[in-house]
Amino acid sequence: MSATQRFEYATAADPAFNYCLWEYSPAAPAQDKFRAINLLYHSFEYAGIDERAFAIVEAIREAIGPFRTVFGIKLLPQGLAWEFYFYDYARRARRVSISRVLAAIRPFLPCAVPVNENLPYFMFSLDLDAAMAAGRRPLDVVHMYVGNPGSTVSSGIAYALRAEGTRLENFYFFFDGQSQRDAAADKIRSSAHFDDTSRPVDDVLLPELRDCRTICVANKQTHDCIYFSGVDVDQLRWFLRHLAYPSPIIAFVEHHRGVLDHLLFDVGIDYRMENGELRALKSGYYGVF
Amino acid sequence: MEPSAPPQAANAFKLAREGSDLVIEFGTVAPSEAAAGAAAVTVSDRVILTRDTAKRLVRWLDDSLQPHAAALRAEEAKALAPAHAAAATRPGPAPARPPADEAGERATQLLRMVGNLDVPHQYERSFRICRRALLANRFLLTLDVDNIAGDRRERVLEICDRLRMPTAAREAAAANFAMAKCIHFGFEADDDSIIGKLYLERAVPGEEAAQARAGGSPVLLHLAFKWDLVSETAVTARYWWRPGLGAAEIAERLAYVYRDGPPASLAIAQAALALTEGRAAAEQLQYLEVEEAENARRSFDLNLYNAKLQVADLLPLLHRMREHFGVRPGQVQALYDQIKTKALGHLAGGVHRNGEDFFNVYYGVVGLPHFHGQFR
Repeated sequence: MSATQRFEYATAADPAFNYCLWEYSPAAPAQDKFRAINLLYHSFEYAGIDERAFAIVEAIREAIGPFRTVFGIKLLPQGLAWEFYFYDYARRARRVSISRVLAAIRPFLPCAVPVNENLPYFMFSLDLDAAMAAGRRPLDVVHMYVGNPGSTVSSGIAYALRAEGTRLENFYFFFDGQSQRDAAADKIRSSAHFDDTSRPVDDVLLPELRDCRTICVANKQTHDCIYFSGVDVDQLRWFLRHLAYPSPIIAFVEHHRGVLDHLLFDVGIDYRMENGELRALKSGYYGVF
Repeated sequence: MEPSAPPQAANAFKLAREGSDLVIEFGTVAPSEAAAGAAAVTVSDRVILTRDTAKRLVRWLDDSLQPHAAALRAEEAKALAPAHAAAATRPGPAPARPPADEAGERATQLLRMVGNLDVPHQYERSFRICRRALLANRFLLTLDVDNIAGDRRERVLEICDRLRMPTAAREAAAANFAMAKCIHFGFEADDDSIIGKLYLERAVPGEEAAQARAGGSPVLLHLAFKWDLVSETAVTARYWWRPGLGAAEIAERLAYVYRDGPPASLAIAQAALALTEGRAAAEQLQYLEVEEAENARRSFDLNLYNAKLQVADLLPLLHRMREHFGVRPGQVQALYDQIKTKALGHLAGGVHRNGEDFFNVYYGVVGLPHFHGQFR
């Protein structure tokens, strides 16, 4: 079945969620237009990924319900990769647990990572690439996110869970896109990977994207990352061109702009300075299915 | 959407096709030229729409004009002779719309009455997709006649009476009741009608089926009585089974059913048949053709249960049906989300009694009551 044959269309009852599963008001009437999942399906088809990727998506949705999963389509130096993010802010009283999702995808993607469901995580994520979709490689890491009490802004900490043990990964800090933009800029400057005496902060806090709902700055082990949440379809088009996504990916959004204009998207760029220049290491755009 | 320019008035437009796109030019007729009868138009806007966007525009325009239908009729009538103008401005015959909840009450009533027979039965839902409509308030209830205690015929007809089966249909059903090994009660409702149905299904002897197969002739499987509680009309349908057809023969029969029908629908029906390849021998599918004495209905019914498909397997064809019939994508999606994992039952299609092309998709049969001994 082709991606086109799998396309889904918005119903009157569809909710609209951003990449934190926070609800937003659609940017335009949504009914009969594309669901965000069509971006995911199209990226699978463009990448020629194994059909099992589609089955994994369906298995996840069957297990936890529709509009509970955030997907990320990522551009890495070696090509496209994907990540699925799951939230349940009930923490230990969660219904969407790591164990539940791993059980759902086990027929397609086994995972031997031990999980302690007593930990107070509110979010986790799972990677997917072409080798995993084809069954050539198991899922060997689960990313688990906990809160960051004491932070003055909304914040989270990510750990990588592997069979060998747990390792600290990233810190995330969220800022309102309008009222806390200066604070976000301060956070960008306060970094080992960005020197604002050699590059303006606007190289990171991109004017074309920062008019959005929420800005997130992340400190990662070898670099930093910025996320713009709640960008519209035209900002997404700009992002895809700016980050040099494959032309079929850009063309898909361009061609279907009219049936994507109700959605708000989330985009992220991993970066660090190298020899005085700002380098984008990877990037991603996000939606919900 | 924020307007990027002040709105422009237009009283003329021109449509053109450019590849798969639609180009619309809007403009105004120059007043002096208009008075002189010429058609000089100053183009103010030129808009290019993709096919998908154009289709959505048509739907929204149509919906938006509905509240103005009376005023538009009156405007058009100004150009008519006085004798015709009065008739033209009269609203069309209003559909005999049943009260909003009557359909629900009738459906509940039928479910309750069949439940009260206290026999195991099967409940199967379906939807019809046809021009600009998706009708999902339909179901069938199936039971073996032998399981009904007491006077079987009277108990079945009593249910039909409660659903206001017309006298002539009742008499015909009573006269033919002895043929039934199995019966099906049917229900469907839309904005304009509530239809009750009674199917009498024969147990076709193996020898008769074999002879029919050898002779290439059909055998009568169902005699069905269908009546509209709103319009108080009724039809009698005969469902002819063609036993043991191979895939090529079914494809030929489909081509015959659609001989004057839309090629797109024939292609969809044949694609549905192709879905069963490798899943079930075509001879194990039950192919029926349907005719109604009172009208030109010409349709087929292909039972797909033996192919063990899900509604999800039909998705590409549902997209084609939706596009063919101009049904809103979100409307189909809303139904599909609920039923995609259900077993795909059968597909019916062809030319309906109103002359319109249609498909009916039956799905998700379940046994009731859930804990009845015969379903363990």
